Amino acid sequence: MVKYITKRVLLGLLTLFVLVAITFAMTKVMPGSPLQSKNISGDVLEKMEASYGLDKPPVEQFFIYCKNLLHGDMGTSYKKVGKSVNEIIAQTMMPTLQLGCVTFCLVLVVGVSSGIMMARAKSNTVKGIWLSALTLGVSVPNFIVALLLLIIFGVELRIFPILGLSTPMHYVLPAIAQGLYPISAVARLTQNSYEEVVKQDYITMAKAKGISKRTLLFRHVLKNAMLPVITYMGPMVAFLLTGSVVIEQIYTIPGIGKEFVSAITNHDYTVVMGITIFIGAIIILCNLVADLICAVVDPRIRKSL
Amino acid sequence: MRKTKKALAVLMTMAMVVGCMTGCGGGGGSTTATNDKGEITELIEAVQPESGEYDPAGAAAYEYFSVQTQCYEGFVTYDENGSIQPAAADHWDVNDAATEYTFYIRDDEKWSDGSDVTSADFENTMKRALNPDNGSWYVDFLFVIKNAEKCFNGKCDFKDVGIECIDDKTIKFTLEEPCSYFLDLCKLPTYMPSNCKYARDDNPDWDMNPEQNLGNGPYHLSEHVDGDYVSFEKNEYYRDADQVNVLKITDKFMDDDQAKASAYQTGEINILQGAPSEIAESYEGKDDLQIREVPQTNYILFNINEKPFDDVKVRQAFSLALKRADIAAVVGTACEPGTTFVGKNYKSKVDGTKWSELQGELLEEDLTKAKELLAEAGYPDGKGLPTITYTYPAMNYEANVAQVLQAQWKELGVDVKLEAMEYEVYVDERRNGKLQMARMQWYADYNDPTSWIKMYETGNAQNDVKWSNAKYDKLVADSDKNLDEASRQEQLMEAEKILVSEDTVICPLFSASNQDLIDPTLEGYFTDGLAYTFWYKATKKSN
Repeated sequence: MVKYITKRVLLGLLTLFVLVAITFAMTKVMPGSPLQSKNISGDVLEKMEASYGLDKPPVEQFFIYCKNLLHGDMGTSYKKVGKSVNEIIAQTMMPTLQLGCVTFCLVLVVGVSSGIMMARAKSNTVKGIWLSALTLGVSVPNFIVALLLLIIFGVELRIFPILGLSTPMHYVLPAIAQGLYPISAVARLTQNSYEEVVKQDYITMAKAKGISKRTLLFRHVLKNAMLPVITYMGPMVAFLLTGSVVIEQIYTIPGIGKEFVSAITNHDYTVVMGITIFIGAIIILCNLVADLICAVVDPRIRKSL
Repeated sequence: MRKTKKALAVLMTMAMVVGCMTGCGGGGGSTTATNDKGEITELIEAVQPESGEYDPAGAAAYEYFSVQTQCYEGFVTYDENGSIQPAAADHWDVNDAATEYTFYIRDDEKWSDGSDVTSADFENTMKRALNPDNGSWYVDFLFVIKNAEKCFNGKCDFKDVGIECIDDKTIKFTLEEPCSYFLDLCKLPTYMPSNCKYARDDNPDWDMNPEQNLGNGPYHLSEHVDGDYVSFEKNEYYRDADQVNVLKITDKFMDDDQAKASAYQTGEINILQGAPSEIAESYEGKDDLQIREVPQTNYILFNINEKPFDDVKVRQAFSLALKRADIAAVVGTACEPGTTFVGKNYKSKVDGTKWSELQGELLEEDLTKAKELLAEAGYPDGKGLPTITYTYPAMNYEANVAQVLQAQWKELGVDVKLEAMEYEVYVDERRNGKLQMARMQWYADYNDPTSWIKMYETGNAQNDVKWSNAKYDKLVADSDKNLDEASRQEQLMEAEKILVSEDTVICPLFSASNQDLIDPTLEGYFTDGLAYTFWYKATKKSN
């Protein structure tokens, strides 16, 4: 187990390094300078470029960057003068994290419970309606959902506020818009897996032993049915933590996804690099955690490690 | 499966219908709240996401100007007609040669912590701007002051610069040469005061810190949440504090058009300046929609250093072939075709007449003549021309404008390739002289024709194509020293004719006005000559 974790962490670090190298190279070949702007004169520009070390050869810049990165320093922003990338990430991370947590809970509760309900539903009509709703949830892009919710429940009915995340009510629409896809996916996964598990011999055995319905559901069925859901949760949590650009734009949430896009359009290289590395690290970490949870839940996986 | 598909189609159609029905704008919500004294407690405005610093001596970009409008007061200000009025200085002296300006700061001019605004505070901004490490965007405008440019380039000390604090409330500027528009320059960031106590080079974060960024205008910075919003609260020590009727202004950073429109409709924001045409159109005929004339010009810049635009006849042919009214029509109702470089809405300082009316048309619209010129240049019906590309930044209406241009040049017999570029890339390429025809847009920095005309002086940092014309340079230089406004205006008009009609380095297209959505229950706010809106006097209409 320890060997497995070490291997995964080392592999993760290698992936990160490759990511850093590729992103660095890409920012260097991107046309346009971050410091070129409307009113700045040639002299000022040269002096500013020198102060950011942009006058050095790219290879040297890369080594300086890596060295600073090892010390946890991702540099300072070109556009937000005097702000370090670490500060920018820490700050834009908060709204994304808050919304991500709310959406995560929503997905878990609604997705899993509706999956179970679907699996247990006897009527084909009910199943059909559920299935249509879920197909819709998976297939309609989140920006359409976000806009529809905004226009119907925000602008027309005025039930929910639409600007930012200042009160609990502000979370409702963006969380639903962001969560609709994962809810549908989790529900489908849970349903399929549930239907699969209840057919297993050990469930029949457990039923024959006469254990209570609740124990049967939680200890025997769900524990096994949740495996694919947990595997799916890894990338999903990473997706929620790294922020949805579209949702953050539409609901004016100053999160990390919005910052990432504005950094790209502003050619704020250090911020682009910093956020890329950060997102990369989160994805690697979430996948690792999801795999470890699977190993804890399922002895078969544990043994194979 | 077919059933599911059908159900899906029905659902999607329903969703779309609901979307269309509800999406049709109109009916802005007014939630502007007042207290029992009738004061407005807060106004919320949507602004473009910030970039740059709030330091007048730094990289003062976009959002900075909102801070300046609310919080800082320079020596002078503009009234609604663009005339200079006393502000932090109650009067000033100018010597006969117009080389020495002495400003007398008001005794009751206070910072928001109650301390006096002194001459040293004004000097502080200039001193820091002249330090190249601070990356000031507006430092060039200090170079009219004696030795300022030398100091910036490290060739002399700041003490040799022509800025002298005579006493706490008096400051004197000695200029290199007479500068007829020096008072207009005093509206620029580098001429604003910054508090000596906090605004120091060894304290780089002062500008975003509400404790330290003090205001001497109607407001002071009260809260700044990076990327989210910035708030200003009333400066109790402002010399005209009883006039301030809006207690707090919040600028919310928003960049999604739909989000802005929706937030205005729900009343979560009260002001949306510069609404995109699609949104503004849905408010046509309603009190919410206000047109604000801004001093700006949209034009095409030719790369005069490369074939075929090194030939003035080709440049003229391309300019004469355009029908500007059709181009303006695709941009929106608040847009007027024009052939002057100086913004169509700029009003003459002599008599307040619009510049474009005084100057007349600088380019005629004549396709036949355009074709003749092209033939004379050796390209009859466009034959023999190399591939020509028109480059524009990938932004809202630019693509529509580009397509109209392309169609009109097609009538001239030329197939022009269109190329959209990301804004930063476009600026970079343009500055490095790589674009054949580039779309340009220029907003005046101060209320004077030189804010446009000076751009194309020999050696100016904004003169991207390095055009140089001795006659033009002389006219502009002479106008700087000319203190008679009427004859100075003549000189600048003459220079503009060289730039547009004779050498046709640029091809003016149109001037756009801003369309603002403003809570219709508000009144009493005003817009100055540079199109900045001051809200502090706003009141709620009584009924």
